[in-house]
Amino acid sequence: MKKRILVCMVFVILLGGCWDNKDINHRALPIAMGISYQQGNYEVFLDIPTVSDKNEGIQVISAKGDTISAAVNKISMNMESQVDLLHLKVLIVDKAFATLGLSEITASTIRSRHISPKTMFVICDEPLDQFFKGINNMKNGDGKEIYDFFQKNSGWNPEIAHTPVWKVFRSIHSYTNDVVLPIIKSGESTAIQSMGSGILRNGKMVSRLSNEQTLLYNVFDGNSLDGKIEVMGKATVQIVSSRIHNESKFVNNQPVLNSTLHLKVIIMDVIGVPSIEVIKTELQTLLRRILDQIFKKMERANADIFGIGQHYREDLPRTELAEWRTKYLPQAKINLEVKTTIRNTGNLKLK
Amino acid sequence: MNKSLQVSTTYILTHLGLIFFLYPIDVIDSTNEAHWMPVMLGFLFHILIIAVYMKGLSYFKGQNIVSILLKKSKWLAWIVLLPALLYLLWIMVLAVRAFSEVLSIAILSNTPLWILMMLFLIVPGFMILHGQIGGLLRLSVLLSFLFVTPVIFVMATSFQNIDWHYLFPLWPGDKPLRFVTHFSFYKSLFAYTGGFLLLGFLPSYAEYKPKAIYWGSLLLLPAYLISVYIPVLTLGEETARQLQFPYLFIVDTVEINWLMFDRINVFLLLGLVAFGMFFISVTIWQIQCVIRLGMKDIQPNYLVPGIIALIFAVCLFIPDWQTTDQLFQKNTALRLYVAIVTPVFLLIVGWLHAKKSTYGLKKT
Repeated sequence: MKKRILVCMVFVILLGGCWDNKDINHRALPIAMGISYQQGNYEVFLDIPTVSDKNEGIQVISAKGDTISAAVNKISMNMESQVDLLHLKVLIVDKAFATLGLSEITASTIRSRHISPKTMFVICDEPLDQFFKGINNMKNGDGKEIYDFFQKNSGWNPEIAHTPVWKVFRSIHSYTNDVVLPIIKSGESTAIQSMGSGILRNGKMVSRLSNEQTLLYNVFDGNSLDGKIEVMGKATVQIVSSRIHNESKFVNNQPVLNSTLHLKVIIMDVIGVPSIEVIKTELQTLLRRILDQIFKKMERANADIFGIGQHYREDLPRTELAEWRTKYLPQAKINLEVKTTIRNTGNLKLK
Repeated sequence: MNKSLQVSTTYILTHLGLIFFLYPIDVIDSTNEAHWMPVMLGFLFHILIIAVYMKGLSYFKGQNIVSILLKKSKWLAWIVLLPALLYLLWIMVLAVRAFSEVLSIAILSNTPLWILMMLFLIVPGFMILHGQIGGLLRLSVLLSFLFVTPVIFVMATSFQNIDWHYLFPLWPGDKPLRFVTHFSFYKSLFAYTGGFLLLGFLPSYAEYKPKAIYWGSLLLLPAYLISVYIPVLTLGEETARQLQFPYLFIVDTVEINWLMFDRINVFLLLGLVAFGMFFISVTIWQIQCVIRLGMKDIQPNYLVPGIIALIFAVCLFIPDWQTTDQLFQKNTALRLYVAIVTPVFLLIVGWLHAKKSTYGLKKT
């Protein structure tokens, strides 16, 4: 008898946890959230897939508020179901807001814990209302493209930057780490079009990279495979593996980084009859040129997107490290050497 | 019968539950660089007190600390036991309150706090009433089979986003021991002193080899280091100190494509909640021991619900996280007193006892 009562008690206690449970059909689970900021007012767009037998695609709802959660609350109030940001995958801000600074919204996403720190941060190149109208054009698909676009196991490409919220948060507080965010807009024949990426320093967008530069940024940052590079007028190659070796030192109080990039590529396309050696040297000069462009941009913007300062943690005391971006990065000298190996030439021989 | 395995798993579990929540941020707060120094110093302190404590206990085979001390001198005994009792009650209030708040922040944001606190009291209370210490010792083996694998899995995957450069500088620039003057360092010691008193409360049939405890604490060392270093290596020190629970945050950033669960935090929290409940039940056992052997032999069927009701009432009076934190800080002095005085006192008593008995032997 005592045992039975105890078992009942356990059920009462455990099932009590479900009392304010909201079933999944009473929840709205947005996959993307757009945020724009104008004169002290946030405008929030939520991209909510509608669940029905016909799979009618996506519903876009927007509201304004003093804070993001106030705006989300307003949407939740006016909707028949409760908005739950738990499965949010993409956070989109417009360009004006990104230049103004994202530190506040990053902090509030981290604080609330409703949004996962793994959510992708994205900058939009056009006004958000236009963007959301564009991507939800039924001609272009079922409306979940924005989700698939940034998933590494579906639509993501090495030309697109891949930066979750927590990395942006790190860049805001860190002395030596900055990030690049992908820039997109609604496309014409596809739902989304990649427009390169934006360099963020301390949460503010300060410069831009093109798609090609972003690919090389990804390669040099050590997180890219199978990106394809066009060697001007000669060939197209695919990167199969990359390795970076860095050597950091101080020469005359000036940080010097000797960097070697080992790249293994395979040939995809050839124009005319170039020799392997020609393709190799052309590729090396091309890579060096693009990376030098990125380094220049980086130094001009004082943003350490490659985390170069990380290599000098042992050489600089903390007080100096805090001034890394302004004092040391502009005079940093990066000696880049690119070594490429052409692993194979595909099914055809190359003369 | 030798119960080394059970005692050392009990020992490991009670500590594991304490490490991952508050400990990392206390260590990160205490110093700007070279975090291994406060971790290692704390660990040495830990080894030292359990060594002294076990040496003291070894003079009295199979007796628990309450009866040892009361047999010597009643007044002297209470100098040690009263602070210990107060400390145990205090740490239990904090544990219940803090665990339920963490759970509320991390996953159950809609569940009222009092339900969580009740859960953290009723389940351990049930464990104690049903199994007493023997049951707890056996339960520790079961719990480690069930929960240690997911916790280790989470610990291994949390290495995903680290950047080894953040490890440097290994040796801090100036005044390497400055963290000793920082209050957070002493606060962080709670993760080392939480469970060691238990060794003195084990019944006579639970014999163990001191070696098992040393091995157990050595197994804990990676957990201490990981809980502090993973946030620092992933985010950098400057960013990590912004967070309330750095380790939990890092686990949230881990991406595993092949796993059907989006947030692997659930595994970690489930394991830690189990360990936390285990810690609370062990604490109830110690409080019960002190009261029953030292003051009045009340039936456990009345005593345990009484303790639970008292703790629950006190917990209800703590309104917010800030107050919890303040209570935690105020607890530091008492904790250090208990952690230092109890083992040392026991060692002296034991030493005198041994001397006396050899003297007695010689006389006869």
